[in-house]
Amino acid sequence: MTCKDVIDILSEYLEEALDATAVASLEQHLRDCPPCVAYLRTFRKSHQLAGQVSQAPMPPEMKQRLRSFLAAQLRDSVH
Amino acid sequence: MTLMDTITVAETERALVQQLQNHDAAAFESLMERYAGRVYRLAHGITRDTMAAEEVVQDVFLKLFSAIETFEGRSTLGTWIYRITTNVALNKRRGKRREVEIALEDVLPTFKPDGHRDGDRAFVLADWSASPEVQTLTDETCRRVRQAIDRLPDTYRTVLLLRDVEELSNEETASALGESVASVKSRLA
Repeated sequence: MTCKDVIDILSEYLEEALDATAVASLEQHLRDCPPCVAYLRTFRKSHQLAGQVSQAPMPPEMKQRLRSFLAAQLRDSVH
Repeated sequence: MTLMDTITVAETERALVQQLQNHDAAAFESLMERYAGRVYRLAHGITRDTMAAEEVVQDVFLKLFSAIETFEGRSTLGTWIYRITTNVALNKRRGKRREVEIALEDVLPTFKPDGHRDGDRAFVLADWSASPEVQTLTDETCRRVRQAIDRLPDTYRTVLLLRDVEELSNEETASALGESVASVKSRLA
């Protein structure tokens, strides 16, 4: 397995969606390849950080406006 | 999630869809409670604008009202809603002035003809996952990560939001975007 092969299947590896043969092959490559280990750690941390900093809770007043808006739409659609 | 949990979720969803198709007001309320926050979060992530995100949420729920009768259950209700949200939000963003987008070819890994990593050794060995700034996640680090996400092309940012924020699998992300799994994976490297 080459570095390119590893990077191609990294997201499935982290998702635990690879079969046992592919996992063994990938982990064998990682044992001998510091650049791929560094890439894997950075990749995993980058995606984790992206998830953490992109949280945007809906403001409560906006939810109330949406509720009123949808109730009006629903009433109009019935009449 | 166990198989039984999955079956229960699927049955609950099927019942909800049936009530929605019968224009049951309580079902729409339940749909809103369950999905409004997620729709807003994704819309905000794509548009990067609070007002635009609110408009997207309203448009998405209007579309859900009018299109629920056409929902055939080929995907989950959640994936279908993410798909509508993505389309509406990307349309809303289209034509807007954009931040300077990052040149992805400058940051994606490069390879030698034999498939092994190419490039400066210090760069290919760089691992900032354990750096103090990342470990403590300071406000400055968060700001810089957000800025980097903002500079991604829309289609890449949307994949990142569906995968890393909404926590969809590659298959679910592909279904939500109406694209192939290979296309999704190519934007994750």
